[in-house]
Amino acid sequence: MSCNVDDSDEIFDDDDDDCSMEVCTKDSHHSGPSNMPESCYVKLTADDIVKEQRKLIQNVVELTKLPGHTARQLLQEMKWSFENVAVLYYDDQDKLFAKAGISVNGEAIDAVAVRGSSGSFVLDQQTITCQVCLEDFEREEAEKGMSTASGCGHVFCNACWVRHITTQVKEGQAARISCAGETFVEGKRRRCNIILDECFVEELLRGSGGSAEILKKYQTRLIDSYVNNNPTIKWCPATDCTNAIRVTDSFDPSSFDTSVECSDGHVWCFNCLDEPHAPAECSNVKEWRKKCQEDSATSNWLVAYTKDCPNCKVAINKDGGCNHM
Amino acid sequence: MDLKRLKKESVELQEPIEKCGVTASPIKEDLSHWKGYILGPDDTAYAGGKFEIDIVLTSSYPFEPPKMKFNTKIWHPNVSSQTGAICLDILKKEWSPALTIKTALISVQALLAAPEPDDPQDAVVAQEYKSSIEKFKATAKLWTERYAKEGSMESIQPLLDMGFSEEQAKDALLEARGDVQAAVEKLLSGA
Ligand SMILES: [Zn+2]
Ligand SMILES: [Zn+2]
Ligand SMILES: [Zn+2]
Ligand SMILES: [Zn+2]
Ligand SMILES: [Zn+2]
Repeated sequence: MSCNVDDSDEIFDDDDDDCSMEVCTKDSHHSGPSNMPESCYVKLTADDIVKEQRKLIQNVVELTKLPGHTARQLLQEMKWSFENVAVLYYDDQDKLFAKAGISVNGEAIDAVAVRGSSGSFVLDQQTITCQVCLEDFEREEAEKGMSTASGCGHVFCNACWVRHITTQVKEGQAARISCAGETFVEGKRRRCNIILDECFVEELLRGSGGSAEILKKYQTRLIDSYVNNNPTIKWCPATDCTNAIRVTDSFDPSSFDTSVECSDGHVWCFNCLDEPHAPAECSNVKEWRKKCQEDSATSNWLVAYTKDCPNCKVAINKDGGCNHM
Repeated sequence: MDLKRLKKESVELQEPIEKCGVTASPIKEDLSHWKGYILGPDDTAYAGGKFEIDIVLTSSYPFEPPKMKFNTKIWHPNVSSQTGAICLDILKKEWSPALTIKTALISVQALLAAPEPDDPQDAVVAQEYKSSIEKFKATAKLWTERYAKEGSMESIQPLLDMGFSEEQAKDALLEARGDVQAAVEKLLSGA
């Protein structure tokens, strides 16, 4: 990489005595933002994230032949890395399943106690009672108006499912909405711990009695739980921006420049979410921000933490020497 | 609030308390406020006691748990000795809409038989439970006698007639092991 100076641009502005960071935003410049090769990261929109998440779940379902909700739990547990799930799957299945709280045959350990408890969907019965509203359903009515959670077999009427899910979403749940059923564990009654599959939830919320607002909230939270539990993905910190960045294996968090650019052109440091700050390190920026807060007269961080590269006159980190020589 | 379900629950709870150890009935017409009772489990310090439980239902019941607390004072690690607040997981995050007032009351009753001192509601009681189980049992038993056995001491009336409070009278009778004469002497001597 060359050390060409873009002479039309000043890296920092000495006169600037407020705390904004005036940094060159030209990609051509070696200390400018987004200097990181684009192979190091992928630009994502909210839709891309949903698709990516579904694809990962599908991959795990195909690999392990487990139901979707279990695959989701496994991925959540393994920080959404398919590779990690796959490696452990071939290496030590018991350990993998234990990690996600599921037994070897793919059922939640606690859910085993559910079998034989109230509400299993037995179609040879004439009527079936919804154990939530205590309403009786005839066979044909039940087939249309009731649904069963996969994994435990608890059956409730769709209206009760919708109300249960709606209450849970309102309370802030999404990725871990459990079945409305009850179970008996170690002599104690408690809720069934089967996590509802996202397709099951969405189908119910789209049906009668579900609200579009709750569905939207649910989907947003699911994405959040994916992004927040996935160290390789971060939301763009710009206000109201719904894009995200996923870094690839070639991303080096300790590299000289860790700034990335989202689909809408916002540029930020992937490590610390602050504005791009190469050649200063994230910790320098943090210190500088703190100092700024304490002392409004503090001058530009570049003055404090960098010096000019003797070769190209571009600001470089004071500790590191010029990274380009 | 699901009135249809609540009416069914109300019918189910009308059985006499002796049958399954718990009972409850609505005290407000809109079925949002109930009064329940549980019998202290046999072979515990609460045996023979009848404990009143205050039950409030939100408009989201049964999708939200019922709010329950003891109206009768009780000495138990998972119940506040001051307010009667109950620390029980199924009344919070382990609640399922398939549970009912009845199953919740049965779970509270089970809690009396199996305290969980590591998840206490009342730190003082939990501390006593852990450090001296015998002392804990004695206090719990005393409180059961004092607060959960209304009318069980027929001999209390003469003491009340003399102008002593119910608590004073009960304590004196407990200490005198039911001997009214001894209790009166005790009260009069100001001990
Ligand atoms: Zn240079
Ligand atoms: Zn129902
Ligand atoms: Zn279930
Ligand atoms: Zn952005
Ligand atoms: Zn940074």
